Amino acid sequence: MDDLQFERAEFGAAAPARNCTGCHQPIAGAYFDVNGQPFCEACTAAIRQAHRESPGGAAFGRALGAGLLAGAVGSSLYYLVAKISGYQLSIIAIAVGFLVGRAVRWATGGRGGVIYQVLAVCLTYAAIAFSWVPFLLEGEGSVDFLDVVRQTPVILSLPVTLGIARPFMLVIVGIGLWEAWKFTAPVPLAISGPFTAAASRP
Amino acid sequence: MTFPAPVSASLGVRCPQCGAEIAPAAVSCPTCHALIHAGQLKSLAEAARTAAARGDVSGQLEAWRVALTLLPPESAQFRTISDRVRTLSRSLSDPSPAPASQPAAGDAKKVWGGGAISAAALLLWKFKAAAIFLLTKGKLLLFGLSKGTTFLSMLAALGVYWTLWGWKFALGFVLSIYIHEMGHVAAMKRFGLAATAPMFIPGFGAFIRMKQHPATAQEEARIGLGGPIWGLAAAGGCFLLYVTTAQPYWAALTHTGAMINLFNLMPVWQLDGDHAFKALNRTERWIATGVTAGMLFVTGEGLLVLVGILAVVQALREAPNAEGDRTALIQFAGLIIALALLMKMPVPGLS
Repeated sequence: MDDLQFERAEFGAAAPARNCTGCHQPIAGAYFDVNGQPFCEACTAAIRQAHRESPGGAAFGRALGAGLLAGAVGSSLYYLVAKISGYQLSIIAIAVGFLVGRAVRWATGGRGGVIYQVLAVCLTYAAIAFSWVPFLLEGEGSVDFLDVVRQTPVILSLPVTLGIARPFMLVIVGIGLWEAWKFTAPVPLAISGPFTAAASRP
Repeated sequence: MTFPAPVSASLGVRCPQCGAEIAPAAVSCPTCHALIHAGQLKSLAEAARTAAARGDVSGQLEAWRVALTLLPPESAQFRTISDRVRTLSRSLSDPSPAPASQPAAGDAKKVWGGGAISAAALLLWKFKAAAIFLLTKGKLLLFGLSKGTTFLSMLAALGVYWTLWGWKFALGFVLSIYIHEMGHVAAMKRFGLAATAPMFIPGFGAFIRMKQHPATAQEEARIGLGGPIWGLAAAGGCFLLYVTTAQPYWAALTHTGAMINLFNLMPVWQLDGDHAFKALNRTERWIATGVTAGMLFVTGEGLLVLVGILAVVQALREAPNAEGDRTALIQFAGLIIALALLMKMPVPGLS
């Protein structure tokens, strides 16, 4: 360790070729720094273009579908865990937010945005609220699907009404919603450059 | 929908050696390979050498880990320091031989078989060990409270739990969580890893965010299990107080403390059990699953069903650390056994 020097980086026989993070090709001329990563000029232009374009209705539909599916999985998870372990773990609300947030983000190709944040939060809230339905059904005896639909406003108010009695449950639901919001947030794009990959000495 | 306007103007810095404009995040100049943070790197290397001279492995690790963030990952210096960090980390991960002053397992058996005097001597030795633990780790426990975010968030959590369960139980509950978190902090300090102070969230518990990645799976397992080990010590302390005083308060704290720590042993997401399982090879994962199943059979504790199901899922997956980690397995299994037994303890007034 004593022979280490910190004046210049040692790269062995040949200095590593700087590759573009996007296309993985060696960067010959100028490059840009995009969120701390090097990108070639063509990839940087493509990133800028993709960031300006609106994802459109199809992407929103995909996000809605993926979010609904993730929400259903999350709701079922809460019930299953309670049935298996005998514990009603409110912390699963965080997992629901995580699942829905990730699903919506995946459906939008990692873009995120305010509209998707709102979608993910709404779906997470609904999934948490509906996770109590199986417990209510168990106590009610024979209840059909239409009864559940009719009771939707009551079901959607459950996280708040139950949360008033158990304030820390409200906190956990809040963290779950925050997870969904965080995962679907737009990624800020910080581009600097162009820089020269192998500039001549001044 | 609007997006943040991209910055198109050059916002780079100049290389101190050749003057070429380089990206702000660059740690070396692409033209002349000058290290941008050369001064800081030399200071860190000096700090590591000083720590090595006094035999402080944690100090060396702390300095070299920071140095790694200031070097290009493709450089020879980065590789050399990475190797050094892994070697130092392994020296801390592997169980050290028992000090001469402490009785080995075989000696302990002899002591147990030696009658009342020997038993009393063992008890005294155990109290001495506990006293040494309190004196050394107690300093760290107090140090943690000096952090503003920890103390204030702890007070907020205490306030919320107070309204639900009264101040006495709320205080014990919050302290149980705090001791668990400080177990992680102690392990991280030992491995020279930077992390945030514990932050309490009422209803959720508390968390610590690591600022650097562990160098090895073994290191991650020690840090992950550090919390439940300290948590077990806290729950065990409450159990001893219950046995001594017969106060239901201590029984309730024992049960709750054991439950929090057992919950954290679930090998999923970012829970402590997941960090432990990353170090286990497939055989060890099945052994851990078997121990969990055994304790489920003995205690009937519902949380063990979840731990067991998740452990099976982990055992069926490919284990990334083929060499395994016997110490992590022993710690995990020991925690499952001890915490499940503590949870089984009846709490007066609780059906």
